[in-house]
This record gives sequence, C-alpha cells and structure tokens, in this order.
Amino acid sequence: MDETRISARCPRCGRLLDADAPGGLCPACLLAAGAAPMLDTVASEADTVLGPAPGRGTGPGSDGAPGTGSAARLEAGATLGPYRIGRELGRGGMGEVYEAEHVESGRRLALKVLRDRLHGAEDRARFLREGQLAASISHPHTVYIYGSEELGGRPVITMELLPGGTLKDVVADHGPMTPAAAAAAVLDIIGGLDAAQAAGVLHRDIKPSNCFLDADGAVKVGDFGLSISTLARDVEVGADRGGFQGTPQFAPPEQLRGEPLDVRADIYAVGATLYYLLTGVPPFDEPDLRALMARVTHDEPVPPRVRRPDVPSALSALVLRCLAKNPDDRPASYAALASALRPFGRADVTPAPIGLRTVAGLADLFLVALPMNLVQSWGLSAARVGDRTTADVDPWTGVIMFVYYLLIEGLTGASIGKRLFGLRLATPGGGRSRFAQAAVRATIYCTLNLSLAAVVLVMGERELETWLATHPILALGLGGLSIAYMAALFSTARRRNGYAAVHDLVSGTRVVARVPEFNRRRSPARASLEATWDRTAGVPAHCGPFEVLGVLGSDAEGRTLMGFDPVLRRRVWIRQVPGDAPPVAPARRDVSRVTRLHWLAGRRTAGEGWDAFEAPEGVSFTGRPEAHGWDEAKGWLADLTRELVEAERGGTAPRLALDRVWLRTDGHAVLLDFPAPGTAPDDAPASSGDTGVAPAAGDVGPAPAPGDVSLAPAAFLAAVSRLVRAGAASAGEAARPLPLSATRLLDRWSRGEAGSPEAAARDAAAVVALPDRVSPWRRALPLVMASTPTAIMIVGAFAVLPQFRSAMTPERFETYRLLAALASSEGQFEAALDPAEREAIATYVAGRHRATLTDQALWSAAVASGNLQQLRATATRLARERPDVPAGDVAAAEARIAPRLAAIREEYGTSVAPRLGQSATAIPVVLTALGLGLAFAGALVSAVLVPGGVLIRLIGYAVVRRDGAAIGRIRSVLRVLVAWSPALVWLACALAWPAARTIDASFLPATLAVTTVVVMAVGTVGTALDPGRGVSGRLTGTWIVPR
Amino acid sequence: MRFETTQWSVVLAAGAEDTAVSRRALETLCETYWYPLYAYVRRRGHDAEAARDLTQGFFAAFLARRGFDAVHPDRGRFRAFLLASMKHYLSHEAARRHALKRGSGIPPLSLGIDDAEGRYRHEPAEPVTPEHLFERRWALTVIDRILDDLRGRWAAEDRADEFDALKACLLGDAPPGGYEAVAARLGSTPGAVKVAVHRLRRRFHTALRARIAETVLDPAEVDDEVRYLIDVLGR
Repeated sequence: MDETRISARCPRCGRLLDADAPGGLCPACLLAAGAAPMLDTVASEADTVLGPAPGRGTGPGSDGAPGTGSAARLEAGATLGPYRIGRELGRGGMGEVYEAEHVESGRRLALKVLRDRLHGAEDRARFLREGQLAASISHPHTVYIYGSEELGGRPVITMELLPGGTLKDVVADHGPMTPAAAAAAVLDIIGGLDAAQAAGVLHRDIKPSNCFLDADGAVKVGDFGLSISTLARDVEVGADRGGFQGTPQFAPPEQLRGEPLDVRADIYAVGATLYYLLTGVPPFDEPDLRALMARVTHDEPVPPRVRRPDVPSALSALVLRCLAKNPDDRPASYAALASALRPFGRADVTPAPIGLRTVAGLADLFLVALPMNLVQSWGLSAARVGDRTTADVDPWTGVIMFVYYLLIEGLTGASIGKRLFGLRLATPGGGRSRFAQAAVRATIYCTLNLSLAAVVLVMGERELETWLATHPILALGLGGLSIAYMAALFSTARRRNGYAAVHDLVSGTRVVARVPEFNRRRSPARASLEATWDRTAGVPAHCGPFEVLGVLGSDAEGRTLMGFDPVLRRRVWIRQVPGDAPPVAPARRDVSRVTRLHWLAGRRTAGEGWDAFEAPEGVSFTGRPEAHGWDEAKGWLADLTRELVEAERGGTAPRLALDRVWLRTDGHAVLLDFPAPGTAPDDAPASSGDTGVAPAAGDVGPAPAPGDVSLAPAAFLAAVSRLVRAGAASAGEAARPLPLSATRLLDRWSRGEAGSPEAAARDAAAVVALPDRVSPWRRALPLVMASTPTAIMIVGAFAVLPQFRSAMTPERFETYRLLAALASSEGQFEAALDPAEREAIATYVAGRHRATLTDQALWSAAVASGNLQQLRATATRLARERPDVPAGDVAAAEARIAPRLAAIREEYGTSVAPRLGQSATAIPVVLTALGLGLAFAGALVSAVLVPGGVLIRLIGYAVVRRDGAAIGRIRSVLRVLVAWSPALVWLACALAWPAARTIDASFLPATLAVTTVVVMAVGTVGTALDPGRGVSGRLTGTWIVPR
Repeated sequence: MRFETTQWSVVLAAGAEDTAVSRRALETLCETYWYPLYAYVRRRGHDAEAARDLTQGFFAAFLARRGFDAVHPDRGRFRAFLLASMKHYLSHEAARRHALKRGSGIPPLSLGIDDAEGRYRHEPAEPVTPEHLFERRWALTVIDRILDDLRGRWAAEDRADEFDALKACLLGDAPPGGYEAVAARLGSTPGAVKVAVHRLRRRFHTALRARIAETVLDPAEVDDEVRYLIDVLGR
C-alpha cells in the first residue's frame, strides 16, 4: 500500500499516528467512521444529508445503537442514530452529555442523552422542556441549542460543543482563580443569565460545572435541565414536584425548602459559584445532605477573604451579599450585580490620560488648598500681621495634601478629584490597590512638600523665611522646583506603560479611567415579519423536521422561508437552494458567534436543497425605518468589524452587502449569509449607490443589483458608515453630534478608508469604549475652578470697601498728613520743618492718634496703599518712642500746630471728602475689571491655542459644529466672546462712562455691575446643567462632545 | 458475495462436519491473523526463532483441534478464542510439540512467517502487555486487510489513483484540498468525486462489517466488536 502522506496527528481525534497506521489514516477514527451506519441507504448515491435530522426517530441507522440495549451509558465510538459518540463531557440531572460527531457531515457537537432509566413520559417531557427553554435563548454567553430529536427511542438534545471544559475543571486543574479572572467569568455568566431572564427563563442550577468555556475562554451557561419558564407562554411549566431540585452546595435556602423562586435564587447560585471560583470550595459542604441543608439554611458562610486573603474585601462582601439567606438582602437584579462586580473584572479600565490626571490633581489642590487659604487669611494671617516678607513659606498645605492623599486614596482608592473625573488607583493588572501602595504613592508625590515641612520644623518658619528673603533667587527657585519635580515624576509616562509616572511605577499602581458601561439597548420586537410572509406561493409544507410557514423573500440564489421547529417551538429561517448547490462549508457550520446565524441543519438531494438557520428577532439594517442613536450604532460597528475579522480568520466570510445585515433585538448586528428577510431584491437602501464604492478607486459606480455583489470589507464599512450617519442625523433636533472620534471614524470609513478588518475592529472598539455623553460634573468642575479666582477677587474687592472708607476718616487723614510731614522732615527736606514744630507734631500724633498708630489691621490691610506703607515705619517708631504722652503736652502741641491742623481740616473738607466716595468705589471696580479682564484674556488665549479651549481638551472633550466636525479658531474665539459678553459690555461701559466706575454714586452703575456678575454666574450654572451645549453653545451653534 | 460469513465456531465445534470448504475458511482466518499471535509470543519473551516455531506449531495444532478442549469461545469472538487457545498452547508447549512431532498428516499453513521478525521490530517499544499488543495488532490487521482488499477492487477497475486520493475521506471528511482540487487531479468533476467518495465509504462500511462478522458468533455482536477494537486502538 502506498503511503503518500503520513501526518503526525490524526486531524479528527488528535492522536499521534504510528508509522504503520493503515493507509496513513488514524485506525480508530477509520473504524469508527466505517462502523457508523449509513443513513441514506435508501437514497441514491448522490444524496447527502448534511445535518442532524431532528425528529426522524429510529432511522435505519439506529438499530446498532446501544441505547436500545441494556447499556445505560454510551461508550466512545458507539453510534447513536447518525452520531458517533466521543468522550463523555459530563452528567447532568437528567442525562449524560457526550462529545459527538454527525458522521455524514463531520459536524462535531455536544449530545445530551436522556438517562436510560428515565423513560417515563414525564421525564421525557421534562427533558424536552429543557431543550425548548434553552432554545429560546441565543446569547454569546449561553450554550446554543441546535435541535432536539429522538434516537433509538431516547430523546437527545444537540448543542454547541465547547472544548474548554467547565469552570469546575478549571478550578480542579489550576486551583482557585484570581479575583479578576473569577469576576470576568462571573460577568460572562451574568450576561447569559440576564438574556435567559429576558427570555423568561430561570436557570435554578447554576454551578461551576454548568458553566462551559469556549475556545477563546469565554464562559457560557449551559444545562438548563432544571430551568423553568417564568412566562406561561410557550412552554408548559408543569407542576413542580415539590421538594428540592438542584445542587445543594450552590442552591439558596429557599430552593432547599422547595419554596417558589425568582431571579434572586439564581443570583445566590451565581454568588456561590463566585465563592467557589475564588476559594476552590463551595460556601457550604457536608457529606451528609441533611447536615448540608441545615448549614445552608442557618449558618453564615466563611467570608472568601478569610479563606484567601488576597480577595479584595469589597469583593468578599459582595459575594456574601449574594449569599444572604433572605432574598431581599441580595442584589436585586443582574444589572445591579454586574455593576458591582465590574470594577473587579479586567476589561473595566483604561489608562487615564495625563490631561485628565492634571485636571484631577488641580481639583484636589483646589479642594484642599482653597479651604486652607481661607482659614489662613481669616485666622492665621491675623496672628502674623506685620511679619509679611517677600518669601512667604507655607509648608502646611503640602503636608495636608499628603495626609489627604494617604487617607482618601489609601482607604477608597481614589481622591475626590480623581473620583470626580472618573479615575481611580489600580494595580497594573486592573485590580484594586492596597493601602500600603497608596501610602508609597502619596509619599513620593508629596516628597517636596514633606521635605519643606521638615526643613521648617528644623530651622523654624521665621528663620527660613528670613533666610529666603535674603536669598530671593532661592525663593524663586522654590516655586520652580515644585514644577520641575512634577515634570520629573511624569517623565516616565508613556502610552505603552499606561502613563505610569514615577510614583505609579514605584508603588506598583496605575491611575485608570473607568470604561463607560456599554449596555446594548434591548429593543422590543418591532417590525414583525409576519406581514411579509407569502403563504400563497408554492411552498412545501415541510423541510426536513421543520414546518414551513411562508415565504419571506427570494433572490437570485434561492428563497428564504419562515420555518418552525415543532419540537423546540421556535422559528427558523430556511434557505431553499437548488439541490446541487454546494453544501454549507464545515467551517461555517460550526460558527458559533452572536454576529452570525447558527446553522441548524441542511439537506441536499436531487430534488431538495435547504439549510436551516436560527431566526433571531429583529429587523434588517436597510429596512429599519426609524432613526437610531449612536449608542446603538456603535455596538453594530463593533459587531460587524469583529465578525469581519473572525470570518476572514476562519474562512467563513459571507458575501458582504448592506441588505445582509440584521439587527437583533438584543442590540447585536448579524452578518447574514443571504439577503435579510423582509428586504425585497429591489429594496435597495437609500445609499445603494454607495455599495459600489471600490475601496481603492473611491468612485461611485452604478449600483449593482443587491445580491449579486460582494463588497470588499472597506467598501462594506463605507456603506454601513453612511447609513449610520444618516440615521444619527435624522434622529431629530434633540440629537447631539457624535463624539468627535466617532465622527472622524465614520467620515474616514465613509470614504472607504477603513483599512484592514483588524484595523477597523480596533478603531471600532476604541470608539465603543468612549463615553457617549458629556458628564455634567466633568464639565462643571473645571468651570468652577477657573472662575473661582475671579470670583474671589471680585467678592474681595467689594468686601474691602467699608475698610477703605474707614481708612479715610477726617482723623485718619489728619494722622496721615502729620506723619507725612514728619516722614518728609526726616529725609531730604529736613529744613522744611523747624525742630520745635516737629516735636509738637510728634507729641500731638503720639498722644492724640495713638489708636491709629497701633492699628495693625489698618496698616496691613489690603487697601493700604504704597504711600501709606511709607508712613508705617514712622508710625511704628513714634508709637514705640513715645509710649506715654501726658495730656497737657498734647494740648500744648495742638495749640502749637493749630494753623497746620486747620489747614489739614480745610483740605479734607474741600478736596478729600467730596472725592472720597468716588475714589473709594473705584478700587473695587478696578479690581473687578482686572479679575474679569485677566480671566477673559486667559480664556481668549486658550481658545486661540486650542480651538474649544485648553481646559475642554484636558478633560477629554471637544467642541464641534452641528455636523460633528471640530470647530476652528474663529468659532472658538466667537464662543469666548459670547460667553464673556456680559463682562465685556460692562467693561466697555466702565471705560466709556466714568459714572459706571462708581458703585454707590447712583443706582444704575451698581445694578450694572451686579447684573454682569449674576449673568455670568447664571451662564456658568446653565453650562453645568446643560453640559453638552450651555448658553454660548446655543448662541454659536456649537456642542461639546467627548473627544 | 465475497464476504461470505463463515461461522468459525461452528467449524471448530462440529468436528464431524469438517468439510473441505469450512476447513479452508478457517485456514484463511488463521492466515489472516497469524501475525498478531506472533507478536504476542515475541512480547512474552521468546526469541525470534522460538516464536516462529511456536506460532507455526500452534496453528498446526489449532487446525487439527487437538488439545484445546479446555478452551471455550468467549462471547463468540474468534479473536478472544484464538488468544485463549494460544495461551493454553504455550502453557502446555512441550506436550504439544511432542504430539506434533509424531505427525498428523495435516499440511502446514503457508504463513509467510519469514518476514515476521522484520515487522516485529517496528512494533512500539513502549511497555504494553503482550495481550494488548496482540489486540492492537489484530485491529490493525482487520483494517489493513480491508484497505488492501478495497484497493485491489479499485485497481481491478483501473482506478487505483482514485482510491489513493480519496481514502482519507473514509474518516468522514472532504478530501484533503477539497473536492475541486481532487477532481482536477483525477480529471473528473466535483460531483463525480462526491459520488465516488460516497461509494468508497459504503464499500468500506460493508467490508468492515463483513470482516468483523467473520470473527464473531452473532451478527448482533459486530458493533460490540468494533467498539472494542476502537477502544483497543485508542488506548
């Protein structure tokens, strides 16, 4: 025998082949294949039955089935109907599950066979009910049911084969899972159970051995053997037998007691499963069933954290909450459980961008330093009056920052600033950081502040300030040093290391941003296809085991029929093709992705050719009448691009066309292998002309008839993008523009520049991970931070007004003038004053005006002008040199300088008093103008530098036009002008109209100033409440969207 | 029909009806399955020379049905019966040899045993038991014979190429490279190739059942026997 080729391994069973393998083929597989009964011994040789034939009953091939004999279990290699049995995969409550192969087609699947001794009518009904319930769910995280049939007198259920074993196997082989892996697995389970709940199915037997792993490691819920329908619609629930059914280690107390159950019973079992994954043991275990039931009902479980200290305490608490005896104490829904669990999973976070971290850091500084400064200016500063120097050292704010970071980040994992911007600390793997790590971080981050505090403690604050005052260069350097230190800390941050700064690297932490939860919107089944069934055309009553309900559509390749599986009680789509059409390729048959239809069965004979597919509820992409939001569409883009990648990889790429996209009601998009039911052949989309876009040429050719053309992936995505944009644009006036990156992505794709499917899938995934909307908090906080200095300045200016007035009473004017005379006589104009008069002035001032001389608040007040400061030294000296002046001396001195005093009073009366109101109010007005002007200038510069503004950019937002494109500099400046227009009007008035500069001279100017401030404040609040637009956005036709 | 089922046990048990036809059938069976027994004897520790003599001697004695009264067919399997007989023979080796030397006039089987040692050298070296080696060899012999036979039939129709190209389809898959490629190579059409594959599978199926049926007592045991052999090969 010529051995043309000896492969090292059998392609079927994977065993190593010996050199003497007969014909170079695996002998075991050869025997098994040869021994399998030929199904179609009655059919002509050209016939091929391609799939499981549900409901065929005892066919000619089932006579050799061991099920008819005494053997309760099937052995590997045995045949059952058209299937060859492989290894046993597991045993459920009602039967065994085997790996099996449909001999003729070679399709591999899992076969669940009703246990031999359970052959009563009730058992059979229950067994088939499992199939019906499970078949009503199609979700990426549930095991898909292909069909149900009866072979050799035994009912079987055929389902998706999952090669990765169960979660129980994983724990048995590799020990307990990491918290992140366990959380990720349980999130998958929750996804599947949530879909089951939406379909009205309660599982009732969730446990690690019922959770299966697919080739990619995703977890799928299977074995709906104990499930019941919570709806009374399609499946008879049947009276429960009372008493307990389930697995007691994982079942809640109410299930053990045989009480009515709801979703919270499954949530308990999910918690028990999570417990097992984390610790390797179920929450309760007793060899004796009765003892176990007693413990489940009465004992509190040992917290997972006690069994395994590296389980985060919050996760441990969550598990215990799921395991609460009272259902009311458990998470009320899968959504609640999932959102509590998500932070522990892995895919939840993305590295925080530096811009957002900067703003968060400023927010923290703002939150800590602002109260500190207020306290200082009202409390501490009073005690330190007179000690002001040019080098004002403040080590204490830094120390408090350290304590703040240490406590808040150590205990909660995020400072307030981080929390406001959706950031938190995490380990590089995405897990929770520990207190010690936060402490290391805080120490490094605040090293400079802490060192300064240490120096102050050693030297003494005043000495340091004095020393610094004599070394002004160093004082300046101190400010520069902290900036340089921050720069050094962040010098290590790169995209590839998750923007890790030095303190991140040393402490083994990262700052991460939450990836916004992306929940696909479940839409109710809308356009029912029933209206489109054509029952008049000559359709067969049956296709294999399926009843035919009507024709859904036809095209060049064949017809699509609406079928019904009478056993599983679900609808199927049947594609009628010529009998000589090639059968569905094996690779396509085995595809199990939510983005493709599951292939159920098929047949090719001389007169008959059909394939049956699952029929998910939904609507065709092109036939979708109403507008859709971006939150829906981005999920479709992610689905379609991922499917393009998978299909290319697996060689299962279908013909690509817009009318072959189906939108499921659970929000997923499906690539169909045939035109979508409900779309007529000429029902081309509005953008049908686009379907001819060649990715390279980019020109729009005449539209080929749909169904005849297969688009290149890039051209397909171009057509999809256009439809998505059109749908989003027609979503109504309320619709806001898409996030900037989404607009850019759709624009690029629309031009046919999507690139390879891999690149497109990456881009789509990145866009999906972005938030759809602008968060009010994120938008408002920088606004508040930016406007606070101006506000403080304005409020402060008005606050000092009374102080200023009190500074210019007639008595004080007299004091100033006399002091000025004294001061000038000490200098170059000594001769101007004769010594006797000088002595009289000094005596008079020291005696009569002692209160003013020693009024430190007056001398150090903000309103004290530079001239006044020059008098301060004289005043201080005078008060010190003449501590006690007799009243008689004062009176004598007063008499001596009476003419001078009279002149001063006259001057006050004629020139000072009338102007006083005006000049006093001028100061707060100038300060207000200065504050507003500076803030305005800053905003203007920022708007010119980065269209939309630097702050908007830092917090990860962008300003766009109605069509979604980013605004240019001109519109950016326009936005600033509009936003600041009240202030600008006021400033203009103040410049042009002197009366407006006064506050209390008349009512109108005061009203004007106050109105300005109020209008600005209202605008700010309005922007915070309507973060996507704000007042200026509305007036300039711009929106703020996530970048 | 070529694969006529011979009730081997009937032949053995009913010595009186020892016709030339049934004796010839039994001889053919022995000729088919001698090598697994040789391998068994070698694995028991006998050297090549001794194994050769013992195997020859065993078959002579077996066909003469002398001294095997204590051995009963096990569930009707020829395989099991042959092995049990060999074990019995080996344990009474000296007496059997003595008896043989006296001669019985039975012509020796043409076992082609000369290249036996060459084949044995290729047996897996891992420490499988002699019994397992025997059973494994037995199963491979079954398949070898069927494939040889099928190839002979295809060759007789001058279609040996087709057989070689399509034999991998016996595993249930499409031919390596796909129907189109094979059709192109054979100068045929994919449709015709599919038909040929189907025919080959059916022939193989029929031949397998017939081969196995020869070695069991009851046709209903064919499936059991196949399962057993698959299990043997899978071990």
